[in-house]
Amino acid sequence: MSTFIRGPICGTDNCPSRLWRIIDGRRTCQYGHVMEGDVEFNDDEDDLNGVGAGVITRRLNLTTNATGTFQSSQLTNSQLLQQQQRRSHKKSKKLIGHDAKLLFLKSFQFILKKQIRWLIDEMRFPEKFENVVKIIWLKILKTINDQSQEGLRLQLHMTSTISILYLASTHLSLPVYTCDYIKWICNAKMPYFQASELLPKSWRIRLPNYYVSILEGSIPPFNGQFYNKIALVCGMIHFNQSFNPQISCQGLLLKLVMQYTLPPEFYFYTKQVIELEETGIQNLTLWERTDERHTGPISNHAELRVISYFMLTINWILSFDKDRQYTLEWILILIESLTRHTTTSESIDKNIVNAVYPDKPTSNDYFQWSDSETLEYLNWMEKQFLPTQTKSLHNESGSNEMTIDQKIAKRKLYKIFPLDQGTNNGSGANDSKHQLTFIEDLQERYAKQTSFLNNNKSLHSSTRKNDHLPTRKEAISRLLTQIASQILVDFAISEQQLKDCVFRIKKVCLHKMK
Amino acid sequence: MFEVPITLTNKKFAQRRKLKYQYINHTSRRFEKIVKKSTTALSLPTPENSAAENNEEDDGERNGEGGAYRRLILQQRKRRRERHWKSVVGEIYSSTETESDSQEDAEEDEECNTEGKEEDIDEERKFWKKYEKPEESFEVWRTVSSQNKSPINKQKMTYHTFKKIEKNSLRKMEVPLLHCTKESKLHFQSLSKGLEPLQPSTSEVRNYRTKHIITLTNLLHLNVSRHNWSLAYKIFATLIRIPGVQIKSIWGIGVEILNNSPNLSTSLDFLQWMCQIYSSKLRFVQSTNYRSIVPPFQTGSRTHTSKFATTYLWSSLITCQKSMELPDINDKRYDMENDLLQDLIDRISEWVLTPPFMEDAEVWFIYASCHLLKADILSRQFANDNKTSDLIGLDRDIKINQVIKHIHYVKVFLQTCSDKGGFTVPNRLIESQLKGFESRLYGEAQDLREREMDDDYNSIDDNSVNNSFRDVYETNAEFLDTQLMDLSPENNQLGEIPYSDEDSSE
Repeated sequence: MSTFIRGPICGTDNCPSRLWRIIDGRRTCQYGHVMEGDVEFNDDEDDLNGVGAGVITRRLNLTTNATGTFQSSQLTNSQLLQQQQRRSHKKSKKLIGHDAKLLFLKSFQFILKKQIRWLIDEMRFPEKFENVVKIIWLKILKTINDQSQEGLRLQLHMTSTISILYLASTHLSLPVYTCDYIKWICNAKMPYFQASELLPKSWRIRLPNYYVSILEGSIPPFNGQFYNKIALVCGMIHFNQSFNPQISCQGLLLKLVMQYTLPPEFYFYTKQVIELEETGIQNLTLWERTDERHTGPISNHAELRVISYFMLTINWILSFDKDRQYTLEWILILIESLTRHTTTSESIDKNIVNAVYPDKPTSNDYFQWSDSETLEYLNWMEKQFLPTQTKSLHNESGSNEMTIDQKIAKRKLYKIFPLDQGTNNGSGANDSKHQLTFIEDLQERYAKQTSFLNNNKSLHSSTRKNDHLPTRKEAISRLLTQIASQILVDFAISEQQLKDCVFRIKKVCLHKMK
Repeated sequence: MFEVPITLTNKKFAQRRKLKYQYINHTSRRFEKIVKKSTTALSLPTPENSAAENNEEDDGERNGEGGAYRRLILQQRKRRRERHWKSVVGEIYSSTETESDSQEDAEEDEECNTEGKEEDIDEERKFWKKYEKPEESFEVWRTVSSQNKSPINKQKMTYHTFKKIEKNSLRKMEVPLLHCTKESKLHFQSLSKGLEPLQPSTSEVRNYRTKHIITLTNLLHLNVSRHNWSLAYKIFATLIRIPGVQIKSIWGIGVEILNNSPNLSTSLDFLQWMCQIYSSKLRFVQSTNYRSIVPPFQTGSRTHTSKFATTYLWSSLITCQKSMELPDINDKRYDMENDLLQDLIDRISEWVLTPPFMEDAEVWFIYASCHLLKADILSRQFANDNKTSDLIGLDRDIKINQVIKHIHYVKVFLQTCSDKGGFTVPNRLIESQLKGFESRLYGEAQDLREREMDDDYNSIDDNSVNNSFRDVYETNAEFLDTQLMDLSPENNQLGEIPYSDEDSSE
């Protein structure tokens, strides 16, 4: 109300003022003279916005203030006040203290349940899986319950959900590993990121912001966080006492061998090495970590040990082979096939996971993406990623965050830029014939390298004697780097951690061989 | 790699910034404390500052200041001598130094206590408060007012004092550094040594959504540079649907994409949307820290129209003019274009004439150009119809009046435009063009003259597009004027080019 409007000279008692404002609906000049015969009935500053007095138009006329937030010209003061009140009312509903913790546990359980349902429905996990998870969850609740009321620490994070699921799948000896869970959450298939949106509205409103942000799971586990969490949960509930802690090593090995299209012998080689070192393959059990502060040596984690053995075996076999069975050409072809870009659903998934993790050698791969790969990525964005992110726009439950003006504006923008347009007709035909299945792709890759294995060796080694070929040692190290860079992303560990682990295992192995 | 259309706020970044500005502020405070006795204020070595310096010397005003400076030097000498004697006498030099340092520290602490209220302020804001932040860029050269002139700080500083200041500030930073992570500590230390970490801030982001936004932005730039418009369109459409993405920082790419791909919606629709939602006529706020993007590209203010708004106005004016230039114009088409133009005029008038009033000269110029175009259309219709002599009597008078009204508007708005300042306008050209319109109204007697002028415009049009080269313009125009007078009318008729409005092609 304090803004002045320039108008005619007041003139009462030679008053020089040209500035007017409206007080109680009457035009009053700067020095307090009231303009005669001018009464404003509508005191909502209509004249400031160029809307004629008495005419109310519902037209989109949004402006922003200096900080860039919306300010609607249409909303009157009283309406704004109402909105604020409503907002503050909602804020006061947040729970605190013990109640909040209880609600958080409930919400956590809810998300866990959603994840289990997805695994059983989509990934064909056995129905028993749900029961196992329930038992583990109860055990965790029990340990939480045993703590004293004051220093109660929940120690739950979104990584705890996948840790629990991982423990359950290990108990059932399902061939599912950390890399699978990481792949599923990064592809937004399994509920993980923005999981707080899944909660019932009444819960989410009352949950304190701190817990909501935990349930958003904003950062994917990195640098072995996932392994640490698994070990910690193990230690918390003494997993090894009452459950089956053996990881199914064979499945993991098979997976690795297939992923890098190595000849099947490597599976047996690695298995032999493991049996030699670990006094039987059954001994690969999960590690129970009881020390909360220190993460301990990375090689304590069974899966990482298997990976290290795998890499060491490749290194040794290839190094001692000396062109007898595995020629230099074959190694080069193998490296080439590993870097090849395809558009199978597997490789698209891999691309997405690569894009999620920074500071990895593969994290900037998307500069080399082909058009079809980019398109696949965008399709994934549209189908999987966007629904998890923009739920609040369509869903009624999320509508409290936006004013009606903002919603109208958003809708108009989306109309200008519709998503399904132009690109669809071109890609639709492409999709049907181009999409290779995983098996086909694998067959093709194996088929490509068979000619370079032992039988045709003499022919190729004689024809391709080029000077610029790298030495065998170089080629092997390049192959290992390639494999390692993929492993780093798949299992969400840092390069240093993998190096440490391989180094330790190597030392132990050499020690035993002596 | 590319600029990300979200504000990267992060605990880590915030902490780093805080440390940085804390250090800078402290150092400058120490420095001022040492320097302030001799010179008045710290300022940039702008040309006018040095001019002010010279003036002062000429005026002989330096007596007071110079005296103070000499006194300071004397004091310093005295202190140095004292110290020297002390060391000779037997006291350890270093101990006295630390003593004096600790004494200074105590002073400093007191200062802090007295400035207790100021301590609460964000260090970054405190730093930026010292500088004036103009809207178009973050640099300012105060060439206008002589009030703000201040002499350059010419005092020399010994390496020893510099080291002392640095040491003191670093010691001051030890406490805040205790509480931060190893990473930010390293970051700060490298910064304080004058090194710049090469890693862009986006490379450390781990947040799931932000990471995808970064990926999409990079892909967007990549595909736009490859002219892969259909993919770029899809990326853009996806990107704007992710919550948190500020469309204000990528609208330019969006316009380009819409211009280059066949779509239901045009770039004008998009720009109109931007104008409706984001244009603001509020004053520029000095106390806000605009971190990355210069304000006119984001919102605009009363004196500076946002760039998307001016883009919108120019491009819609151009579309009006282009559609007018179609070879076969029948009367129906005519009316429609008129409507389009009328629409635009209405919109600008609504924009310009409602309080708080627009202060940007460019918008007024566009407004004037709209009326110019309108006058052109109307008068041309008049000229065409004159041949068939359809217009007679009252009808004719009304139409003449319309044209004159628009011509009047052009003059008025151009006047406002030049009143606001900051925008140079080819006044002479426009005036002669207006004369041409007027001459059309009154028969073909002056047809020849008009055509000359048309040629005039067209040729100038090619030479210079930017209005800032006004001088070039004018000299050219004069030159051509005299040249064309010598040419025979037949030549001119041969070289007749379809009429074009020179303003709208800018």
